[in-house]
Amino acid sequence: MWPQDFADWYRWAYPSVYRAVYRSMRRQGESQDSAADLAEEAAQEAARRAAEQIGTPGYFDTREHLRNWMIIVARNYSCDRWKRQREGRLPEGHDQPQRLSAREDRSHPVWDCFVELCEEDRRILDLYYWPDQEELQGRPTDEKIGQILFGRSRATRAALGQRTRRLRLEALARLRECLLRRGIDPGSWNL
Amino acid sequence: MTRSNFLTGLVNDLITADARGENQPLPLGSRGAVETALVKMLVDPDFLHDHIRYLQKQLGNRYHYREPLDEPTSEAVLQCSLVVLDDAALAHFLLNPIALAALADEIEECQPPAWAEALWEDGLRLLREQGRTIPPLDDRAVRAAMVRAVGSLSRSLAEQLKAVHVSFHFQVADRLLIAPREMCHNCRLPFDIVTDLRTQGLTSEMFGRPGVYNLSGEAIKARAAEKSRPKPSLFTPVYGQECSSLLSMPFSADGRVVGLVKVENKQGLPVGWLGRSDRPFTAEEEELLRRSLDASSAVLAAAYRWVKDQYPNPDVCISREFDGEAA
Repeated sequence: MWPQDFADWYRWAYPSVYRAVYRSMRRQGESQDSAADLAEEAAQEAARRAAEQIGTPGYFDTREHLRNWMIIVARNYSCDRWKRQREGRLPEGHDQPQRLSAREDRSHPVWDCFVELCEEDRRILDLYYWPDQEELQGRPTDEKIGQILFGRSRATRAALGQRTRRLRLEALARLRECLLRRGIDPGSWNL
Repeated sequence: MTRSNFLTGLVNDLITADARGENQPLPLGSRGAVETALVKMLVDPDFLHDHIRYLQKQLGNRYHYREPLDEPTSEAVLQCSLVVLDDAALAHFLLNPIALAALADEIEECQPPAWAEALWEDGLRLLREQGRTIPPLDDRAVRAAMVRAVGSLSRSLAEQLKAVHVSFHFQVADRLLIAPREMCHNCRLPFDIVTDLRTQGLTSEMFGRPGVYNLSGEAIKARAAEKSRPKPSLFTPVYGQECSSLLSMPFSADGRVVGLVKVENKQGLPVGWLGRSDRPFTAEEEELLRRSLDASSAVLAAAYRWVKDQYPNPDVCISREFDGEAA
């Protein structure tokens, strides 16, 4: 029962929270050590914020509720930290003369795989990973992409989002498979 | 991460059978091991990528199965795990890199309850492999958050108490924990509350240091008798301004907060009391007390650990432990 069982629930939830952030950071291309450090920091931050709810009896119904809440908080925290760190870093090869700037040249192994995909897969991944359309200012969500792809559909926004999400995951799975076939670790490419 | 010989052999057999157009079932008694391997693939991307690379090595580009699971099946696997797939579907799934990768992403994004145990085990394994442990909860940041949280609750409770005008007979609890200012920073109730120790002839200078005090101990009674001060009025604050730098919390031998909470405003004037009574509490009073005590217990436990860590041998501690052993 919250908050009396906080300590027990925390110990139970911690591995799941740590894992969720660690895996998420590895997929963003972070090194193992860096991902582990960030996962630990984010999980502790989530615990700290959960502790702020200790004054509200019953705020968390169950330990599963606490775990899910902590995963969301920790993931958001780690994403913010990761973005800030990334903004502070200079891109690899920035000091080399005549550096190529087009995305196709910079990431040609990925690009080669990308162009092997069908048109539908390319379009959805393009919108998700390289948003440059006016409609997608800010972070592209599945709902927003769904409205662009299937705008004439009568489905609800949530349904469009679900449909887009499923198509995106399938396209991503095909791209991953292609990358692995070429000996490329998808984790190194933020995929 | 090591591929088991069982998995390699099984995949080879399935690929061979599939190439011959045979629908080879899983070997008798192997389903459990196949499910275990698949679950590991779906929660551990390194293991999954290793498996896909192996399939690519064996099959090149000639996948027989490369379509994602259909939506109802995918949903069923997310909700109920792999038990919804029969043996043949499980075998096909094992040979299908696209379906595996897509479902792994679904699990990662949705964290479905049916997969919670597998995700938890993967987390434990990661911690073990990386030589990390679960950090203790009572680090400074968490403690500070807990105290702040109770402070917020306390402020709202104080408002309610003002309205209720609760006034009860004073009964001091068995023991008293006193912790320094940092434990009660920004905290108004119940920790800016002062139990009126002078009703038992106890004075603030006897409790000027952090520690756990046994209020019923012979030593403290003797010291109280030595002082022989006049008994003050029941509602007179003891510590005055000094009190705000102390966390004082009466609690019973079993560690639960009991007894008495005196609500003070910032000027140290009592605005209400809540505690043991010689008459039954009203439902409203009981609810207030319950909420106050629920919120206090966790903080008390953290504060108690903190005091024990920081002051293992407090020189004014009458009783060092909950068992009330006299110093």
